[in-house]
Amino acid sequence: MAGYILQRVFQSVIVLLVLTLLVFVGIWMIGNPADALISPDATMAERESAIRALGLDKPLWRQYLDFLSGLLRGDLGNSFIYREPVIDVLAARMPASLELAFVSFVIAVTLSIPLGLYAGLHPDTPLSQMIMGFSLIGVSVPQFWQGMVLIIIFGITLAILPVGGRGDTATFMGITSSLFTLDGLAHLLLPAVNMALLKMSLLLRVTRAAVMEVRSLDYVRFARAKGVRRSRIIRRHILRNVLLPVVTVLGIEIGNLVAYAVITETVFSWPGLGRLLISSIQVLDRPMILAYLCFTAMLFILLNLLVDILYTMIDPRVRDAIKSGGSK
Amino acid sequence: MIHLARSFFSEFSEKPIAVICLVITLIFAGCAVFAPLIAPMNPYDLRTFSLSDARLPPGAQQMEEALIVTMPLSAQAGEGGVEQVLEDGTRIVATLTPDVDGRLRLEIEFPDGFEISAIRLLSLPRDASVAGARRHPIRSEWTLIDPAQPAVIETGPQIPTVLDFSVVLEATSPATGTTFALGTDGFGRDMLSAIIYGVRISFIVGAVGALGSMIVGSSLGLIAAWYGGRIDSAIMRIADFQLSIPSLMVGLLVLTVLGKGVDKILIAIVLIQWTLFARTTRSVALAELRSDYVDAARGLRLSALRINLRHILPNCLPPLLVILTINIASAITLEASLSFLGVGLPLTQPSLGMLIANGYEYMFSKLYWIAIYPGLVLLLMVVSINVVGDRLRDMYNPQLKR
Repeated sequence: MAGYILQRVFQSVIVLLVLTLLVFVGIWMIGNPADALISPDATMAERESAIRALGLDKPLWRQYLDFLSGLLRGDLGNSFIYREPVIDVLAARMPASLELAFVSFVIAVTLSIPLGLYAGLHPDTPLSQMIMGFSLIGVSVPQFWQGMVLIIIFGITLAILPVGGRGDTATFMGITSSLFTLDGLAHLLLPAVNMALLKMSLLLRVTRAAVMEVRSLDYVRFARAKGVRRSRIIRRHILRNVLLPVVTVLGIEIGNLVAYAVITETVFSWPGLGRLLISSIQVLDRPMILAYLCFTAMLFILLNLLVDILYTMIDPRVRDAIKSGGSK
Repeated sequence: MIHLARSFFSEFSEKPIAVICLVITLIFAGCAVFAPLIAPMNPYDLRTFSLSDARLPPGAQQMEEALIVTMPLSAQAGEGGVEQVLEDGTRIVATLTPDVDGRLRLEIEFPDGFEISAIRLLSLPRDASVAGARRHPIRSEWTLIDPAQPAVIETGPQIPTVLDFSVVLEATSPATGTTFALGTDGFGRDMLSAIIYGVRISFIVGAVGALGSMIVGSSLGLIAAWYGGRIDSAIMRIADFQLSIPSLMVGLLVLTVLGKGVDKILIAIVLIQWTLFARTTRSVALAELRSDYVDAARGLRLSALRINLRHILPNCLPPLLVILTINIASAITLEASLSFLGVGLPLTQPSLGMLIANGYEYMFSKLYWIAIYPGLVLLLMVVSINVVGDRLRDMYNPQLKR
């Protein structure tokens, strides 16, 4: 198991190196950040000292090596725009993004699995047809437009929910979050639903497909023939096997949750990491973009590991496969 | 061939909803090809729209620019007149006559059918007042409340010997007969036309992007399967690496590095989507490579290119077509999302995503149609393509056939 984890981490580090190198060269190709940052009125001397202060006078490979050695020390440099360590800027924005991701994840999982289970067990009822129709629209509707429709309906026409910003925050057990105030929760609801809808529709479809496949398998039929209670068949025989593909999709979708937060945060003016990325891209704030990348990559690595571990807990066969693979 | 097509359609049409969606998809494809012929206006042609039509609600009429006639009137001892003949022969006469009470009556004559929306009197003396008219809060400008009634000007106890002022007539602007069925945007552009052109860009970007991905992906898949070994594992490792990064993130990074533009967005789509095609082609090709007919082709010493393109590739096509259909839909959504974020297409090429993004700022002033209609069209397009893709997948999935 430890070897397996180590291997995964090693792969992810290589991925991270390739990504940062690509972004480094890419941003260098589109333009010198100095042009965007230094006012055109500046004298030559001012310009040169500013370029030196930003470390942009060195050759590119040198800048990249500096970045890597900083990364090893946990120092990702200063933002070109905010003039403070990018880590601090990221840390300030992180709670907003995490609470949004958390709430939408909870909404998506708690609604999709029961609905998918129902639609898979009773595929021909009108309610199932409705659920499937809803999920078809859910996977097809562009997320940003769906968010705008939510704003129009609940924020402007009915005017019952706030549509921009994060609202009041409160500190509870050392965590400052808008989860702990009513105003904060009200602000959180629409963006969270916006982000959850696509995930929910997707998970629902995966769950339904898995249920339909599993429920006609021999061991389920056998359990039914034995006279096992229906609720027990669903819990022990169907749900347990359905969870496997669901967890796989969940692992991929958590990555998407982080990526698509960019859209939700833009639509709802949510002060999180996604909006930070978009504004940094617009002004070519290279240290900020790189730091965001490193952070999300690290998040992916962690989450993927978590999914893998969860996998082995749900399915003993996977555990055995890793064990035999590891001893090879 | 005809027989094949017929059996394909009879199987496809077992689900009526899929047929409806196929028709809708084909209509959108038609829109994409014939947009300039279908659209009421050309949203790229600056001459066809004007700012005066901006933000009109759906169903509003396009108006011609209002006709304004300014007539200088000079009166002596309260009597005078002015006559003006417009380009189309319309004769307008304004006469000023003093009445018994020492007030001045201004009568304006114009032929029937010439509709006046407002009459204003400019640069009257400071102490003059006009009955039945509103004064501009700052300027010496009076607007008659009822243009049909003669205006009565009071100039104080004595009628001035010389009185100069201007009569300004504003004609009701006639409708041009063009209706903005879906309203106009912030530039006065017809939304319906903009949407049709937007469909053209979105659909072409989606279709070309997905097709390009299929060509690149299946080529790489065939290469991986044919050569095996290191080449195979290198290609498949890159595919795995790509699949682990969310597609929107890849798109954002690629467009950050390359800049905006249709060609760049196509590159991004190919970079994102080739992996699925490559994997599928490889897995089908690996199975086919073991079959007898490939051995026979090898025995005939056919070239590797010929065996791959003529013998193996046709067998990979059914699953590839399913992926192609669904990838067209996801490419359209991806392009729209990137354009919404402001990194996709340039402003000169308004795709549906860009139109929705433009509508975002107007949403808060309750001008919903600017964002809602392009979004509905985008949704309809993506849903239809997805349903067609689902149907194709069900048809080619032997597990579901019983």
